[in-house]
Amino acid sequence: MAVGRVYRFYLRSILSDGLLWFWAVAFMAFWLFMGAYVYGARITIEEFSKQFPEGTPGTIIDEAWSKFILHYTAGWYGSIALFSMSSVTIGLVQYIYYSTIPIRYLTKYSKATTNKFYTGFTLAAITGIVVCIIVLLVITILLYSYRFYGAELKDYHGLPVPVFKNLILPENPIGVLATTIASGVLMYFISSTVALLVIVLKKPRALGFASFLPYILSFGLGMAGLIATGGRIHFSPFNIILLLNYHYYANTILILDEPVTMMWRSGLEGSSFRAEYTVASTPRLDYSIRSGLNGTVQETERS
Amino acid sequence: MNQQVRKVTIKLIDIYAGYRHGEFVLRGVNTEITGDTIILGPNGSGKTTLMRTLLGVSVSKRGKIIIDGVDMDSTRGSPNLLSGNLPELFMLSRLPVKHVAKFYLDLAGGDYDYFKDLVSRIGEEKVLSRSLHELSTGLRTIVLDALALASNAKHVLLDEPFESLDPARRVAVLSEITRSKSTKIMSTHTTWLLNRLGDWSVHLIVEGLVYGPLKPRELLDLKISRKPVEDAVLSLKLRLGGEVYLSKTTGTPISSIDSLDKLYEVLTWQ
Repeated sequence: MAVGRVYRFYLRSILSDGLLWFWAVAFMAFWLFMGAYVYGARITIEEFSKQFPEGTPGTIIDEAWSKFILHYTAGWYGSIALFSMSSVTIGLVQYIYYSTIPIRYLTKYSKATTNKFYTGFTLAAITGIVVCIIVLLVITILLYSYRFYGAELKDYHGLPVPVFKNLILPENPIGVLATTIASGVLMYFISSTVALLVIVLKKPRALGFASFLPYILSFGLGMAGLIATGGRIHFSPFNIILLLNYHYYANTILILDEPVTMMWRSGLEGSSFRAEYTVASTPRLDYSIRSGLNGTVQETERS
Repeated sequence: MNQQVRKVTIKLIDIYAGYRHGEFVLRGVNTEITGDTIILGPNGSGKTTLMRTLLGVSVSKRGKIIIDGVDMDSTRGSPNLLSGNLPELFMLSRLPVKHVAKFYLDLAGGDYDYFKDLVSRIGEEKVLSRSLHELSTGLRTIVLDALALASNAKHVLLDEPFESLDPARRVAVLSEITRSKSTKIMSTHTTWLLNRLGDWSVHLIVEGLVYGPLKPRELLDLKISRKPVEDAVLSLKLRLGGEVYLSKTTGTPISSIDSLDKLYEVLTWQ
C-alpha cells in the first residue's frame, strides 16, 4: 500500500513537472524536427533514386528507399531517446537530493519504510522516463512518416484528420520497449548515485553541476559515438542505449567499428532488394547496394 | 483545553548538533520534556536545530534522544509517533498542497479532512490548489502547522508556528494548538503567549544551551541582569564569555520584552 502511495505521488510529481516536459520532450521534438526537415532536407526519393542505374524498377527503388528512411529514422530516434532520458535525469537528481530529508522523516514517522519508499520512487522514476520516451517515439513515427511519406487530410465528423500513407514503425517494438525500460533503470540509478554522492561528499553547491553530469556524459559520448568514432566508445552505457534503440527500431546489425551515422550506410550495404517482375526483355534480377548510398548499385542477373 | 498529565516522554542526553563544517549549534543539551512545552529563545539560539534534532533530520548529531523509552536513532516506520512543521520536511514537490497533504497524512495515519478544514478556516481554501512554493510566508506557516497538527501524532513539534501571521490568525492557530490532544513542543521567540499557556512548561534556549523547565508565570516574574545576582534562579552562559542572570529582584523584567530577540539589546543597554 505504502509503495503504491509513494509511486502515485512521485509519478504525479514527475509527470506534472513542466520543465521536464520541456527539456525531455518538447526540446527533443525540436531536434527530431531538425532531423526531418533541416538535416534531412535533401533526403528525397528523387535524389535517392539518382543513385540507381537507369531503368531500375520503381519497386526496387521504393524498397531501398523505405529501408533507408527506416535506418535514418531509427538513428534519430536512438539519439533523441538517449538525450531525452538524460534530460530526465537532471530533474531526477534534484528530486532525489531534495527528497532526502522528507524521506528520512517519512521513513521514521510513517508507514513507509526505506525499502517501500525507494521501491515506489524507483518505479515512479522509471515509469516517468518510459512515458516521456513513448511520447517521443510516437512523435518520431508521426513526424518522420509525414516527412518521408506524406499524409492526406480527411474529414472526420467535420474535423480534418491526417491519414498517413505509410508509417515508419519500429521493426521490433518489444525490443525498443525493453531497451527503454532497461535504460530507465540505468538512468534512475545514475541519478540516485550522483545525488547521493553530493550528499555523502557534503558538497551541496555541486548539485547544479552534478545533476547535469549524466546529460553532459550522454551528449559527449553519444555524439562521439554517433558521428565521430566507433570502437570502444560504443561500450559506454549511454552509447549502448543509443545503439540498442537503433538496432531494434531498424532491425539491423550493429557495426561497432564505425560511428552510428556510418552504420546507417553500412547497414544497407549488402542488403538485397528482390523484386520479381516480368519485363519482356529483362530477366529476373537481384539488386544489391554494394557500397553504400553514395556508391553504385549493381545488378546481378539471376539466370 | 484538553491537557493530559504525562510521564517523561522525550529525553535529551548530551546532545550536540549542527551543520556541516561548522561548530555545533547545540552544545551539550541535557533535558527532559514531560508535557506541553514552549522552547523560548532569541533568533539564532538553536531552536530550529533542536526541532530538527528531535525529528531526527539534523545534519550532524552526537548524543542520545529517547522518545517514550526508545532510542530515536532506531525508530523506523512509526506512524503517529512524531510530527513537525519544518518546511524542509515537505518541500519535495511542486504539486498542489492538497496532493502533498494527502500523501503525507495518508502515510502518517493523519486526518486529511481536519487538515482541509483547518487550512480553509484559518487560511484560505484556494491554498489547497497551489504549491507550497507559491504561497505567502504566512499561508505557508498555516499549511505547515496544519500538516503537523492533522497527523494525529503523539508528539507534535511546532517550530515558530506564528511566524508571519497576522494577530487574528495567530490567535486562531494558538487555539487549534491548545485544542490538540497531542503533546506539543513549540519553539518561539515571542513572549505574548506565555500568559495564555499557564499550564505548559517553558525551556529557555540561549546560544545552544537549554535551561529549565519553568512555568510561564515563574518566567514572567523573573528579571534579566548581566551583573551577578545572589538570588539568581537561572544563569545563562554566553558563548563569548560571561553569564546572564535571571532573578526575581534585579534587572529588566522579562514581561517587558515582547520578543526574546531583544534579549541582547536589553543586555547591551543595561
